[in-house]
Amino acid sequence: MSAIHKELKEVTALIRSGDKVAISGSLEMAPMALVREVIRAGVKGLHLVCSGSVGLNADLLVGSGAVETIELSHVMLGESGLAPRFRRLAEQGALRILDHTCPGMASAFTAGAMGIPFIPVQGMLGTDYLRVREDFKLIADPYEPEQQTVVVPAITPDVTLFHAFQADKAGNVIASRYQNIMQMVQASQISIATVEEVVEVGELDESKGVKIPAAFLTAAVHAPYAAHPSSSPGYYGVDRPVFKYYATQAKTPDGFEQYVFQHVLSYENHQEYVKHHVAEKERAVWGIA
Amino acid sequence: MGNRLTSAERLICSLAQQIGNGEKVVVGNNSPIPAAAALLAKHAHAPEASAYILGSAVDWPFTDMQQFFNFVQRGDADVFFLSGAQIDAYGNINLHVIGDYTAPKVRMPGGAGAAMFYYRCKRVYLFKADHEPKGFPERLDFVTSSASSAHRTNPSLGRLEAVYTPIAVLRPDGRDGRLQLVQTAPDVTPEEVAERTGFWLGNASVIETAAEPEPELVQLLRTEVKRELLSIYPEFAVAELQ
Repeated sequence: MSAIHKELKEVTALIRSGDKVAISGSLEMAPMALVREVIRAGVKGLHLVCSGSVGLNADLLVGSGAVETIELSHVMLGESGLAPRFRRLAEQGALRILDHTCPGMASAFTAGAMGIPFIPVQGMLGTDYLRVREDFKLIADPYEPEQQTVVVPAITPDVTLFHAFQADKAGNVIASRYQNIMQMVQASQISIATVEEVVEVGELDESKGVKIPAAFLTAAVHAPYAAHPSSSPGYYGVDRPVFKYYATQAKTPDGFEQYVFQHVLSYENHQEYVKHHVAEKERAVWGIA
Repeated sequence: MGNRLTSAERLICSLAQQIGNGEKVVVGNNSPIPAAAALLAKHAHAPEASAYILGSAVDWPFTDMQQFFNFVQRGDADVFFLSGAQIDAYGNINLHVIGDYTAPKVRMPGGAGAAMFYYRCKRVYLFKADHEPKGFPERLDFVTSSASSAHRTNPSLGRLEAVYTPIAVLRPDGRDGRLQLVQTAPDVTPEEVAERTGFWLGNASVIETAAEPEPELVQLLRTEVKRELLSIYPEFAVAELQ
């Protein structure tokens, strides 16, 4: 179905409760519109795989009850501090947490992309990752048996959600250089991108990032400001006051509910969100009413 | 200048001085002090150094994170600065939990890349912005990264050089790798450092007193480096750099 879509709802309908869903991004290029749509759809029981450092995207999904298991290497709201809902649920023992490392997870996605079952990783020796992750194994290197190495299972998500800069009309996209989108989409059954703009075939600006072939994508949705309040460099910066506001609100369950209502549930769709949360003057720069 | 140095400024100046000209420094996520140190070294004594800073629009030659990780995994990075919520007597670090893992007193952000970067950068400098007993326990609640050479597959990679705090520098002892006090900040006594360290801290045969950073270095930090840091860590730059 790879083509350019207008509505997030029709593509997020592909996500089922219980799916293994991969996301990435923290202050930059986080798939926030997709995350908000998943919350509106009321999907539950997700195994959320967080590639690289994540932030508001993961904390919103965790706090709204969509996540049963979170697999992650790092979560933080940038300079606004710890992710409050993740932290609270973790401290209550109410969330299944699978700790991983950023590079180990990148390797695990690569294994998923290659269709191999597991992969050796650098480091991790002598750490408690091996104690809390029963599926991480310490094995003898089959070629240098005196050498021990850690192996981790391949990660093969049902769905990868990401935000990208551009798509062309054939569905190729330009993604961030600070994430591992290439590995994630190749490891995933379904991959959905939101993009800031759509251009003619042959007119993608490859200086903006890394080109992901349409062959690995299920759908690209034209959704300006879909990373907001995180940034989409070259289009808009990070909306720091929103992160600060969230960090305060999410300290209590009531404050979190209020935020979710104000920023997610009170809007039918992403276009309505943008109208209320992005200043008119700024929208006008990109020709959005 | 005239203003007293903040703890962060003192740390940044000390760390910057560990970077040699032409060396390659890698800086991860949520790392304002390492980013500032790398930028400061480039502006001061190491103009030919390469600083690869995650989150920086200018200092990033890679196509994606996998390339960045591979650069480090191959053993190409010379210097890495790393902090821990807890640092033990051997330089092992904890970035995960305070208390029991399954129901912790405090759940922290997680280890990010520490369990690889600590093992694969040639020289690792630990730092901590505060020096209090609870941050330096005898035993960690969770081992996010091990400092031990027994856990290195390549002996020339992943060597802990020193631990920098606002009041002291600790170095691993050559025999068993236990940290010992090698330097104190001006006006700080070895006794005070020992009192503010949770694990038993031995003294090196000679304990130096740190020199105040050169005014020119501090000036660069508060001007050029601050300006560059504002785009990545605006709150840190405003709060910690004068």
